[in-house]
Amino acid sequence: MAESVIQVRDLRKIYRSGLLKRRTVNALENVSLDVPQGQIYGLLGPNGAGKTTLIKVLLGIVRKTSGDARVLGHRAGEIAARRRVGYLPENHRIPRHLTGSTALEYYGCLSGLPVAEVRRRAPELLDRVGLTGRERDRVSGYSKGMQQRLGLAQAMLHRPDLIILDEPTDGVDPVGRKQIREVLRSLADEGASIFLNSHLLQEIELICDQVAILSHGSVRRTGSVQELTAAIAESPMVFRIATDRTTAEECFELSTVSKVDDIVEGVLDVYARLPEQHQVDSVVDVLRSRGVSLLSMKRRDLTLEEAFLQIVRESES
Amino acid sequence: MRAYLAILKDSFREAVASRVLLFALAGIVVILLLLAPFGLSTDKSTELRRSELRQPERLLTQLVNGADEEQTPPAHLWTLLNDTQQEKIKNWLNPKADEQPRRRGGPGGSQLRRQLVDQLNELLRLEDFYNAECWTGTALSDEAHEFVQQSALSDNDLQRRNLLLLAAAFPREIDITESNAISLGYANATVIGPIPLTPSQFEPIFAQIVVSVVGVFLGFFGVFGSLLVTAGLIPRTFEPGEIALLLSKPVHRSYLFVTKFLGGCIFTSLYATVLVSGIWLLLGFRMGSWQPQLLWCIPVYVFLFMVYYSVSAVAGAVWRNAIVALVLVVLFWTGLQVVGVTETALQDRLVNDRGIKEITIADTDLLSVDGEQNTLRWDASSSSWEKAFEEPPDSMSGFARRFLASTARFAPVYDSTSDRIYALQLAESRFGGFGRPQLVAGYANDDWERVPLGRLPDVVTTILIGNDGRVILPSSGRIYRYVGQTEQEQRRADFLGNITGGLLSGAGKAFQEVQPKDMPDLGENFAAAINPSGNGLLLFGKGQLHRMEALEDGSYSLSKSRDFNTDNSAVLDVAGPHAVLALASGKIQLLNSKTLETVHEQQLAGGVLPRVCTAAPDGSSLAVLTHAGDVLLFDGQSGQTIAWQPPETGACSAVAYSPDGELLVSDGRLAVRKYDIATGQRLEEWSEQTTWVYDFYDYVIRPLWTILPKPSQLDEFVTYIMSGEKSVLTSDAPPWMVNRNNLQQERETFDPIPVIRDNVIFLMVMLCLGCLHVARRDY
Repeated sequence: MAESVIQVRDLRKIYRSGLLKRRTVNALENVSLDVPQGQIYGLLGPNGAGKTTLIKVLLGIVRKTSGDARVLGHRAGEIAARRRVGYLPENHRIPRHLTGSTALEYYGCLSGLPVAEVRRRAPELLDRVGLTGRERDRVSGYSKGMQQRLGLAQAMLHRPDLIILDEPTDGVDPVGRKQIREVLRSLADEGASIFLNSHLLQEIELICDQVAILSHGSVRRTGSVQELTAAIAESPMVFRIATDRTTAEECFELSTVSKVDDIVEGVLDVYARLPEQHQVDSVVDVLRSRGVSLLSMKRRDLTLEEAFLQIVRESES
Repeated sequence: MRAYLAILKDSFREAVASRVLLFALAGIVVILLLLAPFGLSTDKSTELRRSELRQPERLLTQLVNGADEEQTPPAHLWTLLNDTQQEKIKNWLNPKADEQPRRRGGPGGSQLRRQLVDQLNELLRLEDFYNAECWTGTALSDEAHEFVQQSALSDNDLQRRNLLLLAAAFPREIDITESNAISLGYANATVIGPIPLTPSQFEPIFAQIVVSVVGVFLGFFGVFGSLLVTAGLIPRTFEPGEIALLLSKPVHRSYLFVTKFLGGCIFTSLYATVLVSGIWLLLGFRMGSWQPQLLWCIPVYVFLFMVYYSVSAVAGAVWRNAIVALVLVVLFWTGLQVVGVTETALQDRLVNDRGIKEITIADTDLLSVDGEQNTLRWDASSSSWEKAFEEPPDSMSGFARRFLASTARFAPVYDSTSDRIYALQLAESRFGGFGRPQLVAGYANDDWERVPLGRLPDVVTTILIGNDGRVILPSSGRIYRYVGQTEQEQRRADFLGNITGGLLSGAGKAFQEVQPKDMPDLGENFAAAINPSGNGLLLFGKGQLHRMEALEDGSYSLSKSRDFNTDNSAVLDVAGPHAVLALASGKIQLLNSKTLETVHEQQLAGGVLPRVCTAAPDGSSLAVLTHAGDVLLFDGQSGQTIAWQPPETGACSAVAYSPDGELLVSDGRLAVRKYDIATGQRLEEWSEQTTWVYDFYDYVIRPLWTILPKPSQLDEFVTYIMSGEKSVLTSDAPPWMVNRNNLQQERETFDPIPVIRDNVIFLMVMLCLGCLHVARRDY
């Protein structure tokens, strides 16, 4: 088992507002998770689930209400931890008077790097994020996507052990997204741990080794993408049968059928929700009794989106 | 450290990127270049100035009397005047009865002085001004000697020579010791000049102009311009997108806030450095006035900016809105101004105007003088101070009273042998400034009704009462003794005085000259005291202390002199074996009253100047009151310091002794308290019930003023740096009325330490609040 770069135990964060601080919002409730070293760990959740709050607690930008959070072996927010972390916030704002180069110089020095070291590393980083040739331009002239790339560059500048990215591909075009994914993968290959917060399921699915799903301030499920999307009893049964639609409809209880696909003429895929085995058996019996050929039958894996929605629905219910 | 330096560097980048800094710096450079051609040149003065004419009436009298003399400078000058001019001068001396008398104290006085000076300056242009025979017995300066030996003189040199001769002819009436003229030029052209100012007059004015220019450009435009530019710096930093990124870096939140704050100060620092250095170089190269102390303006005004910016920074961190930050700074500034102005106005009214400044015990009555020169008597029945010994309402215009009252203070003096008080009634000369005062008296059994005794023949500012009731009135070159008049003589003198404007009052008969033959010239700022035991006099003037013995015929003989090798003026008093002499340098010396040897000496700290010296009639102790309100006591027998100080010290405004040697002090307001010095016990108190205004001042305004910073006082700090004077005259009087060396004049002692301390404390508190907020807040 790899060592954890992030360890969170029973973490709670309650925001208080109003004049007398009477209004409260439970942003995080007993959150516990472990992020193994050297992996790309995705944090999924609907808007308002507490993803950004969790990240801010880990960086000490927001103070926890209770529980424990450790980053790279240090208490969350400690300077020693922040020294080894690179962070790209959501909707970050790099001062507009800076250029690409001076921004890297500024944030590099803030991370403790000498100016000479920043200047030595900057060209390679800018090239890696696709900003070569724009380093002398003012940030105020950068597009959203370029700012995201520059933000990513500053997060990588001091070779951190852990990179925390909050919606890194927000505003980035598909080509840029692919580029960023490649950068993240290469960073992971170089041994860095990446904690990625995104609501783009496809991104998570494509690059994350582990995923945690956060909803209403609580971790609902953790595991690899495969584990989260593995077939479960609630997954639909797919019957590939050789018959027409009318016969098929007579063989199934309509309430259980979620979808019918025409594969080729006379061959159908019928998706039916049959969580109990006896329900499956009875459908098979009906098909046989009607003389319908059952070409294949299996429970289908969920997509990440389906798994996510299902988990979120469960948490809401 | 690297991280915080990066933040500072970024602040600098931001300031440069804002372009306002560049525009401001460019503006300063343009202004400095435009000012660069200005220059000053100093020349020897060739004209008499109004302020150099010390005794116009005496000069005119001598001039008129010159008509009857032979081979004297006044006689020669009189012959140079034509009939019209002679008539005019006579008329100035003796205005016709039907001529509408000029309102004394108003601009009339100075107008007459101007006419007289113009007349004299006309004489200075005459080639035959100098007559060797007439000036034979006159002591000439080296410069004048050189001139009179030359035959051909330019117009300027001629005028200069004549001016020196005039001053030599009337040494007590004209003082041209600082006789230089100043011209202001632009490039090669003279714009203004020669300006009739002496260097000593010009330097403070010039320093004030520089301070004002720097104050306006830095203190106002600089500070508020910088606030405008930097108001958004901290709110921008704490915007969600930027602060999250910054806080993810290994930096302390508090340090981040403080560094951002200091970064904001870079703008003002650059602005101040360029402006002040530019002015400094300009003054140095163009006017030859290298004043390195001017460079202190840079840190002072940056500090001023920091005080205001701390409010903006905290508001910016809390509300993250530049407009809110700016509005709060403006409200803060307005609040400080309101509190400051109210404090000053109430302080003026309650302490400076109404506060007791002098105390006199007149038998069973307690008299005092307030800051407006009103004599007050304690009324036991109503427990309040009531006006007494009042001047006639038309004795002086309000204008003159206001100015004269701020330049001198005359306390009534009690004579127990005749049970009456004496005082000098201020009088303004027809030519502006002080004229000859009138000696007035009040009798206890007449409810202290003011009775005029006669106009003095000279300018006198001190009344000394001997143990035998003798009234001694010293002037700078003579000592007069009031010998009284019959009622008829007095009426005649009053009549003459009225029709001649006081000049030929005949009151001179009431005053007998009792000075020794070798009476030293005491100069304008002299101090005098009489020893109750033996009636001997001590006179200090021009750095020398003179002891004069009272002779049996009532006159005085000079028995001992001691040179203190100082230009300082002083205050002094004497009783019994010891005298106390307090110099303007702050050095207090206890002297043996006979040998004049120093028994004990002490230096006042912090640039505080002495104001009054007084001694117990029995010689048991002596006291010094300073302009800072401190009371220092000395033992009359040993001459050593007495450790005990009255509780009022620090706020005391008047000090006196009772006939029994008990100490009376005023609390600066309306209370007088009597203490036994030996035990420190309070024996008696005369305190008027104060009104709600005093409570408002004490419990609202003063505490507010105390706890709030005083950035406006940093302007005074700059003035202090430029002038080096901690003790500042508070008089608004015209220059010729102000005697800068008169220690009795109202002064404010400026202490830079509290100003810096209060502002530093405020700054620290604000930064701590800012740090606390930033450290505890979730972003």
